Order: sequence, then structure tokens, then C-alpha cells
Amino acid sequence: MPPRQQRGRRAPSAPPAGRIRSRAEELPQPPPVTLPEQAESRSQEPRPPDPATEEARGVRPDEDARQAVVLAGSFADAWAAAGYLGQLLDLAEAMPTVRYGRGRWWVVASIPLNLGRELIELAEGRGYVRHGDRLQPDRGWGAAPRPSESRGTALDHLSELSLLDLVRAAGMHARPASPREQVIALVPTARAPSLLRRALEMRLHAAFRPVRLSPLFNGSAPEQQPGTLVEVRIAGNAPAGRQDRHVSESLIAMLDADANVLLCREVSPRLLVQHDRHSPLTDRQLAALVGDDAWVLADPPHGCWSMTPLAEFAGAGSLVRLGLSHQLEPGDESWPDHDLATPLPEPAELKIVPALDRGGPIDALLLDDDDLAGLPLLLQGHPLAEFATLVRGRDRHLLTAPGGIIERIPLGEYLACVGPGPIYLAHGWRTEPRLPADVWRRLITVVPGTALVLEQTRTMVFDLNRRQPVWELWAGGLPPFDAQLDADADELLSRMEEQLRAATQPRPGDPRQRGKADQQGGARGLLRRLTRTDPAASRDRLDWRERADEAERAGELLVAAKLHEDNGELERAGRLYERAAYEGPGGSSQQP
Amino acid sequence: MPEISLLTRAASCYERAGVPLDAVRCYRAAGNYRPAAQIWENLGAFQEAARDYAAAGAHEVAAWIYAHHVGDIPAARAELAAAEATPGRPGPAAGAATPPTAATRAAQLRRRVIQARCNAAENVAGTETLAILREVMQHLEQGREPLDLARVEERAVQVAEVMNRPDLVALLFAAAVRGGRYQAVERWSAWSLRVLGVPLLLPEPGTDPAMVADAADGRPAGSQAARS
Repeated sequence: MPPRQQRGRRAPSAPPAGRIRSRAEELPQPPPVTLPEQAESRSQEPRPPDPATEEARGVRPDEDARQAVVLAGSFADAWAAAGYLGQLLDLAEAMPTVRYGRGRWWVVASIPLNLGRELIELAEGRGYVRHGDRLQPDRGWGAAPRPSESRGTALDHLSELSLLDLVRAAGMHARPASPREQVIALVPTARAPSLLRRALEMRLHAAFRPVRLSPLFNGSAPEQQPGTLVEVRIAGNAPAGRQDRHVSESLIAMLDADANVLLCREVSPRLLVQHDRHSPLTDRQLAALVGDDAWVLADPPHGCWSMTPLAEFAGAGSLVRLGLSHQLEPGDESWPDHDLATPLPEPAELKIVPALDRGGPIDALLLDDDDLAGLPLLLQGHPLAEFATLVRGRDRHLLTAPGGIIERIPLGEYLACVGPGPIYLAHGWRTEPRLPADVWRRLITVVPGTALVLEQTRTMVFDLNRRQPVWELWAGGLPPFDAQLDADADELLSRMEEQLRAATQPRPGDPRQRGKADQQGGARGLLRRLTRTDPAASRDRLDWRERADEAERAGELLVAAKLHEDNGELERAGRLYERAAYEGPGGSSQQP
Repeated sequence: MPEISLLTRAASCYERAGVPLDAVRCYRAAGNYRPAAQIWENLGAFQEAARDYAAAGAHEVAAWIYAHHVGDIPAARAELAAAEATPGRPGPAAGAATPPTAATRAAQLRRRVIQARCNAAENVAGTETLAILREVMQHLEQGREPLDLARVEERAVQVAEVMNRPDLVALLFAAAVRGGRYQAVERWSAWSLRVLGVPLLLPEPGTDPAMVADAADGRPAGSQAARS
């Protein structure tokens, strides 16, 4: 059978355990008549748990101790009481009240018994449970004490005070200040300019505003006149993460040692606390207590104040007055130019100067007449003879090849291409100033169909329409064409050709074309005309090198490079890619 | 600004065309120093190779080339210091899957071997050099991580050769064989033929008492010898 005490503690109408009970239900029923010491001794003896009963209730043995009771902590000093109060402020439903009496501080709150006991013990106080208007001493463990008329303390003997009274009585204690990114100094107006200037010199962010101060905790003397001070905020200047973003400790120490300056840290926008002082309440709990006005909490001799700002913050720079030499003055007449016809500067003269890097490949050769005479000896049988082309000029001749000459033939002057089109400089030389690729692109549109060779004193222009294969230098013309036709056919063809020649006016074409047509003989030319070759078809029959050459002359260097690469001309492909990298891939957007 | 991808393509074409100097010019213009350095190294232009490796941030390779091929020990030590100053960059052979501690240890070992090479070239700090070689042997024999050990072994062997200590070379190769390193026996044989002019004669597995003891311990030592 369970002990009688436990049975009596639960009213028959009590709701099932585990539900939240109101505070009225929390008050126990009148106890059975037992002597206090008897109850004490009974409850102290270990009761064997009755598994059946416990399971039927579905609760743990300390279930009751988890429910909120009105618990009072009694503390000998205000500091401990304030510490306990701070813990209670974190529990929203605790609703603590503060009383003082019998030389002790009392903090009364509705709190679960277990938790309250822990917190009171933490703050080294004694616990009491309120029954009606009496506070019964709590053992600190087990069930709550029984109500008793004779024991405990009557609530009437304890005078009720506000929370602030306790905070005020508890005071603050000093703790070594940690480095701060921002400090706030309250200084008399006469001292503010020197402090702000010093902060500017130390490259700190400084701002100030005037504030009105009236004493806090001083409701009895409202006639006292409020005074004004200047609030100065000083913050480190460096970005977050840097080591020197804190306000220097020497400045803090200097301000702290000044009796006229109150150095604070900002807990919240409405609470400033002396920079190395801490209340037993945490900063957050303290900030929650602040009323309408901002507070300044500090130890004597500064004391606590209620603070009202009188203006917005202004930067420290606004206190700096410029000297006479900083005044804005009209400009000096002698500085700008006056008698120039055009205000644009003279363009620099384009010069051709030696370049540092001379290792590049050779794109073309500039030959004179003597070189031309020696060229057949060098090129006969050389791969270049297959596809190099020559443009003959008056006394200079240009030898080019699709993708560049590349080979260092010991003849003539080496040229390097500088533009997307055929613009050449002497190999190993460059322009001064250096020009962007766009300049060369524009230059070649001025004279299309030509190759330009830039020299220091002149620019040679070669007409690319007059290109001829280099092998024509030594191959010469074909021997007379002897068409082995029978006499009738020959006569018929000759007559047809005469009629056709009479019908078509001789057009002024370039001499090379006419010469070739002559060499090919009348019958072959006639046959070609009779078969009427389609230009598109002939384009398809162009070999890859001719297509690459076309693309290169059109400035589509990437297309040309890809053709060379695909056909195994890797060195020329490399040269074209290199030129494309520097001069732009050309007008065609297609990427090979 | 030149187009980097086109320059790289040009360099690749030049390389395939067999004109390495043009390729180097393009790689360097593209800021791609490592392939340029590799071309220089293949050409035997070690001074330029070391300079380009250093420009590519491969200070360790640059330090080894300076120390072993160029013989510029102050430059090698400077590159070594630069390699120490840029930690956390695992070597090319230490894969991404290797935990950073293992990669760091591998890098430290490689740098210590280069340190040993510098010491050997200047003929100073013989004790430290021997300690480093002993450390390498320990790693070759007992290290479990695939830490680019082939290169460490190769360089340690070269250090020992420079010190004119064939006994150390033999100890290094023996450690690699006992550690079951891939093709360690083949490398040892090649070295023996090249330097000593005689083929390598290793004891048959099971006849050497030390290796029998190893086999009893369940270690993989001697598996290479058995395969060869």
C-alpha cells in the first residue's frame, strides 16, 4: 500500500497527470493532520516505488516537481539575487517580483520546482515555496513542503520593490576590458574637440552628438536641472577581418584614466554601460529592462543617467575648420593654352623600330632584281615552288605563300605579317607606337586587293591580282601546240574560232590571263568555252591550299589555319593561329 | 591582348610540326609556362626549363633541375624556400583523392630529397643527408600511401650516386623491393647494368632469411622478386 501522504496529495478530481494544470490546482489540498516532524521523517525515508501505480499514472516520480510553483529565492546579498533574477528574466512565464525584508533579498517567481531549486542553489540562496501569504522553506529535494500556518515567513513582512531597485543595489563589477571595435565616450563639450581631432589623427571613425543627461534612479528630486554632454563614438577604420580594426588600447586607457570622460560600450541603442563594468545580469537581460529613455550605467563617480539625444550624429570632420590656403580660388590664367588653332594634341609620328623578339617565322620575302635571278636556283625542287606566288614590281618583288614562307631562304629581306590582311613589316621590326589590330584592318580596307610593305620612309604597294606562280620564273612557255586532228576537223574548228573571235570583243584583261590563254592554244580555250564551266563548280574544285589562301587574304585566319592543320601543314597552321591570336580571328565568326 | 586559346593551339601545332622553339614562344606568350618548361627540359635546356618551371609555380621541379642539372645550388635553395612558402599544393602525382596530410607528407619528403641533393652538391651536412636517405628508405619499405614514391626513389638514388655511395643506392633499391614497389627489381637491375656493368643477382624468394622472416610476418615483401 502506498504511503498515506502520497495518496492525500492528489485530489480525487485532479486531472490526469501530464496535463498542464493551472496555478489554482497547483495549490495542494488541506493536509491530513500529521506533525511536521512526522511528515519530515516520513518523506525522508526512501519510499519503494510501486511499479503498478506508477505505470497506471504514466508519470515519472518527479513529475510534480516539474510543474510550476510559486518559488521564492532568498539571498543574503543583492548581487546573488540579481544573478538569480537575470536567469528568471530569460523565462518568459516566470514573472519575477522582488522583495526585501529581514535583511535579505527575495525574488519570487512562478517556476518549475526542479529548475528553481537548481537556480537558487547556483546563486547560493535558500528556496521557499509560497502557500497563500506565507513562504515555506523548501528542503531542496523531494516533494514541495506542506503548507503550515506556523512555519515559514509571512509575505507581509517583506516589502515589495521594483526590479530596478535590485539591479541598482547589485551594482556592477569590474572586468578587464576586451579589445573593442567601437567605444563611446561621454565628454564635456570643452573636451570634445581635442578628442575628435585625436581620433581623426589616428584614422578612426569618429562621430559626435550632444545629449541631455538627467540622473537615473532619482525619482524623488525631479527639480534637478538636466545637463548636457557630448557623446562621441569612435570606431576602428579597417575592414572586418583585419587585425587593426579595433580601437587602440592606448587610447582606451588614456580615456579611462580621465576623470571627466565616461567611456562606455554600447549594449543596445538605448543602453550604454561603462566599458569595463558588468552587471550580474547579462547585457541582453539588462537591455530588456530599459524604459523609454536611453540609460547610461556607470560606477561612481560618474553615476547612472538617463540620456536624451539632442541632435543627429555628425562626423568628426565637421569640426575641422579649413585654413585660408584651402579656400577655393579662380584658376591661374597662365596654365591653359591660349593661341592654339586646334585643341587636339599632335599625333605621334609612326616609326618602325627594331623589336626585341626576332624569333618569329617569316611570312614573306622582299626581293630585288638580283634576288629574282637567283630564286630559280634555290626554289627548283623545293616544296615552296609548289605554291609560293610572286608579285613583280618595278624594282622590288614580293614572294608570298599561303600560311607564310616559314623557311629561312637565304635571299632577300625577311618580312613578317602584322595585320589580319597582307601588311608586312621587316622581320624583327615593329611599329612605334604599337598599333592595335583594328588599325591594320582599317588600313587594308583602304586599298583592297593589295599587299603593303611598310618601310621607314615609304610604303610599297603590290597588286595581288598580278600574282603569278613562282615556277613561272623558270618554267617558261609551252612549246607550240600541235593538235593532232584530221584536216577537216582542224579546218572546221579554225573557222569556228575565227567567227567567235570576231563576235567577242577583246576585253582589256590582265596580261597574265591573256598570255596564258595564248599559250593554251585556241582549241583548248574554245573547248573550255564550249563546256561552259560553272564558277561555283570550279570553286569546289579548288584545292585546299587555294581555299586557305582565299580565306587568309579575306582575313579569316582561323579558317585558313584549320585548313592547314587538317592537311598536315602544321607549321603554317601554327603561324596562322598565332597571327589570329594577336590580330583577331577575322571577320568570320565560325570557329574551326 | 592575344587570345590565349589560339596561342595554345598555335603552340600545339608548332610542337607537332617539330619546331619546339616556336611552340615555346607561343606557350610563354599565353602565360602557359609549364609546357614551355617541359619542352626546354626535353631539349636539355635546363636553365630555361628551371626558369619556366619556377614561373609556372612548380618550384619543386625547378629546385631539383637547378640542383641536379644546372648545378646552381643557391638558386635551388631559393626555389626550395619558395616551394615551402606555397604549401597545400599537392604534387602532380599525388592525386586529388589523397588526404591532405598524406600529400603534405609526400611534398615534405620530396623537398627533403632536394635538400639532400643540395647538401651533396655543396658537400655539407652529411649527417642530415644520410638521415634524409634513411627516411626515404623507411617510406619506400613501409609507407602505405601511393605518394609519388617512384620519383622520390629515383631522385634519392641520384643523390646517392652523386655522393659516390653505391651501397646507399643498393639499400634504397632493397627497401623499394622489400616494400613491394612496382618494378623495383627492374629498376635495380637496370641501374646495376648501367653503373656496375653486371646483371643484378637477387636471392631467390624463400632462401634469404630476412625475406623469409618478412613473409612470416605476412608482409607483401618479396612479391616483386618472386614475379621477376
